[in-house]
Amino acid sequence: MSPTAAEPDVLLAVNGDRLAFERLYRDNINRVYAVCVRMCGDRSRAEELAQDAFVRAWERLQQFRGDSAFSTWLHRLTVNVVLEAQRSERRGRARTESDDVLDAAPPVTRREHHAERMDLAVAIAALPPGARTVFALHDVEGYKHEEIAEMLDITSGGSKAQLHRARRLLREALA
Amino acid sequence: MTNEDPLMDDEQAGETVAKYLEDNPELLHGIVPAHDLWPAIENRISARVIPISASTTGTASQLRVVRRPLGWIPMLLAASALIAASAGITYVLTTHSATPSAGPGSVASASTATQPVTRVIQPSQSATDAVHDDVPAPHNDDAPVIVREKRATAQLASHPGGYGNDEMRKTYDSEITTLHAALDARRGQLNQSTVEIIEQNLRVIDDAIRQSKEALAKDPNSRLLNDQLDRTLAKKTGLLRVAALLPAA
Repeated sequence: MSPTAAEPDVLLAVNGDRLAFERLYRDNINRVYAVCVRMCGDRSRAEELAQDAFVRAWERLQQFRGDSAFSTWLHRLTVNVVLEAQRSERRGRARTESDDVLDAAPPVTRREHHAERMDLAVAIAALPPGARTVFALHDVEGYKHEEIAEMLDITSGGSKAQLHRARRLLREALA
Repeated sequence: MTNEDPLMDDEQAGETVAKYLEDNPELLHGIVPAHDLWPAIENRISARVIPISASTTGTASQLRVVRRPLGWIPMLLAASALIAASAGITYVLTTHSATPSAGPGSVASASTATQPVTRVIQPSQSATDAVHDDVPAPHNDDAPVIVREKRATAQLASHPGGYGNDEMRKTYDSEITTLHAALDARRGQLNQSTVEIIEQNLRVIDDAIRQSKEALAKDPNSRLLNDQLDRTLAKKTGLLRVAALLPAA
């Protein structure tokens, strides 16, 4: 299977048509950006990551073989971009911190977010990075624990534990 | 909630979150960037880095070769930017149009030794077979207009195979010498402040040429440096050509 007539812009973009790629950007930017926001918890950083995702998509369009919809391929690529960025940032922090890499960020300030109708996006952003990433991948993006474990280089049990933690913290924040 | 069973706690938490998501779908699906990210993305994909090894298979216009950052490259680029900024409207950007057998151009009134690529037409003369340079030099209605004729082969000298072409560089040197002589001959007729600006710009260009040649001595096969030197020589030729054709003060 290859990029088909069902996605003509993909075919055009694969052949270097930048206008076609811009149309693909317009069609997908909101979802890509939302994935980045959910996973990194910072809208400004998410804009950078969304840019990175589209730049990488452009660079790797030749590798898109049409085995799935372009949006699915782009979504997976975006998740990988964010995860790589998080790994890189953790490596930078690891020089000065010895905590569990998945919990390296400041602890969640759950009680600070006790508004009656807490914005879920804010609550997710306040989660520890590891719990937030697993929650976003599992509950929002629909990945399985086995897939998450592979992406994050952790065990499936670790993924479940992080999800449990994320849900508990979110429930407290939303209570 | 005081449930001690983590599984039950997890389940209830999931239900709480799921319900909240159901009640507020816009929280997850209404996340949009604050501004359009496309311009930045377009800039980045327009400046893709091409490996050096791939540069031999494309044309100069298709490839942007990025090499390891060295101390003198930023200096060269800065010098190039300075040239562009300081020269401003005082000269016309003319791409060099040299081949080994034909010089980069000559001024009709100053040289007849080589076949002219650049010629001078009067305002009344038809220019249908010529194209104006990208940035026309300021001129009044009585001043001659510089035009550059379409000559496809003239650009080939700057393509792969033409770099480091000693014959072409000698042609540039010869042309520059001729144009310097023409400018010196007309110096008394020209506005002195204009001449000073031109000479100031020429010094900047000469400095850039010197730096390019020094860098090329260390890395003679550098496409970037050869291209940079060719462009700088072309700019110097263009500036001298315009200066030589300036109307009398």
